[in-house]
Amino acid sequence: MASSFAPDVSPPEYSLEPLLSLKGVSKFYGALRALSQIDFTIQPGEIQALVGDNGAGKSTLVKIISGAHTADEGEIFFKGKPVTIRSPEDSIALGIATVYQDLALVGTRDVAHNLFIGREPTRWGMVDRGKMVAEAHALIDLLNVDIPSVDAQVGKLSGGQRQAIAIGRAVHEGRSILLLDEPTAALGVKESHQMLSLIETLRDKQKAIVIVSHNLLHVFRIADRITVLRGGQLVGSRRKTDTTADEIIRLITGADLL
Amino acid sequence: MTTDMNSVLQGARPPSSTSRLSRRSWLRRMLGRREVILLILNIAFIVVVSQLTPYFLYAPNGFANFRVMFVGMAMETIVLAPMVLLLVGGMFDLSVDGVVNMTGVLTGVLLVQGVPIPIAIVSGFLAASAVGFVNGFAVTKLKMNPLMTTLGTWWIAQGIALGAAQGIPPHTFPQAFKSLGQGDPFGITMPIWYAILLLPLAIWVLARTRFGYHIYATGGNREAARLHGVKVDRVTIVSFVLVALAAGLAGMVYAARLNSAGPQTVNGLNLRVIAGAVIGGCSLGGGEGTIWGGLLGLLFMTMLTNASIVLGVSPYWQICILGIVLLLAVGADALAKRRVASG
Repeated sequence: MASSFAPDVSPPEYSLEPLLSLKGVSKFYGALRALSQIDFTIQPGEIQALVGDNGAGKSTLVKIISGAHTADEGEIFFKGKPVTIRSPEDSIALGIATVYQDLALVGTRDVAHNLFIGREPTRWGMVDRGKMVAEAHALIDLLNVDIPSVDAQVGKLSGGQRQAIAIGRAVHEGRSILLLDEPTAALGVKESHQMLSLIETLRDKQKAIVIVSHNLLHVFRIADRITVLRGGQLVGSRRKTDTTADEIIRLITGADLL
Repeated sequence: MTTDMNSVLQGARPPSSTSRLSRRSWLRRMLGRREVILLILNIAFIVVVSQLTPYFLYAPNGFANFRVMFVGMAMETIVLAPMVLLLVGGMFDLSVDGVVNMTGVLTGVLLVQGVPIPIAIVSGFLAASAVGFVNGFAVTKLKMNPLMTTLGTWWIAQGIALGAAQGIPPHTFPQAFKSLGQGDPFGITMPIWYAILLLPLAIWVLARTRFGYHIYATGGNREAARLHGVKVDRVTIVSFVLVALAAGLAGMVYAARLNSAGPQTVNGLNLRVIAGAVIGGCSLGGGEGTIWGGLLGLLFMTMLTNASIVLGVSPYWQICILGIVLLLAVGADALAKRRVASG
């Protein structure tokens, strides 16, 4: 995807109302301050990369938006309206889907069920297995991955296949926002690039995507905006066209180190 | 990528190669299923033992031995059905024997004191479900260990049964109550009726409903299920309450059949049911198992005990044989898992 942004005039996407915004969000683990007064926004149709060193708070931030953890301080707004996200159900109800680092799959269940956990389609009080299988086939073809069968037990699949299922589920679940925590970490080079292409395709469908990654090469390939966390604080958010890898690395490590 | 997606959206999907693959491996998958192996094993067992002695299957009068065996087993399947749900959901309940005895005695005491039958029955169910709720609440919200929690509630319920009976089991119940255990509408005795009603219901709930799918997801990976919006605590609490309600029903039916509610009516039923479920393919780690499997596992254990008696095996050794069968089943499981893990 070629960078299609106009040279730096007040960029059009910032005039849009943010889909989700966090104001002054903090999270404590006992005495440890994992996140401190974070102001964070997610724009529609934008891929935002969340980068930072280990322990910078990236996963914590993702988990607060996904409802896996709850914020101790601060406010969350969805399309301008204040919302509370106290559980994964709250987040899913807002159309936010998450691919967790450990993928959160049920290894004892088949592919079809894993794509629909928590949202199994029903008909006359029963799970509509036919519909589930049909949609599972469509999703697998969309992801263009090699899954032996939608009846296959997920625990017996390869890392790449499992990753694809987790992403496929998020694509189906996330009407508005996708949160991807290290989506390419378990993938080979070819699979990673397929994944990045897929993420770009989803952005073109006006989904907002937040991707946590350590791989700056991947980040610079697909992100529209790069947001840097350090020590639980948001230390910068740059449009890709306005920054360089050097600047991002300085923000990640702390400028004084270089 | 974009073209792939367009073809999907237009429904112009290339014919999937997956369906051909799944047809080819159908037979192998069937033979890999625990239920199928157990069914074959059960049939082989009947064939072999009936060659050894006519008394197992049809002598001296019809299928009398099998009929007695099935009635006893039907009482156990009342508990088996929800117990499979609980095990598949990754939980465990030791308290069943206590709840069976407690509900029988409490209902019996109320009946003997002249309380109307419906009120006595509802009270029995309330007492039973209270134990189930305490189990579920303690395990989910207080994060207590299920084994120790339900050992505690087992003893508490058993203590209540002993305390309420005061040494003299309540007995001689109204005819209408007795018929709930002794009646035989259409020539079929009541315990079989309960099994006929409860087992298909449990099969349907576990295999077809959303609640059943959520049980499998919760047992397979509790945190993953939670993160995708499954109300895992509710799944667990409801399962514990269902087990307790079934135990309560069993307690009342035993009381009705015996016309007496002894505080030690059952002793070991729960562990037999769990062993049957495990032989039938329920994994104690959760996420795997079916009602069919549990039923076939329980049938195998029941026939094994029965055949031992018919063949004149010393009662001292019968329990020993059961133990060996259980170890073999669990061992086969562990072996199969290791083979999958290594290759």
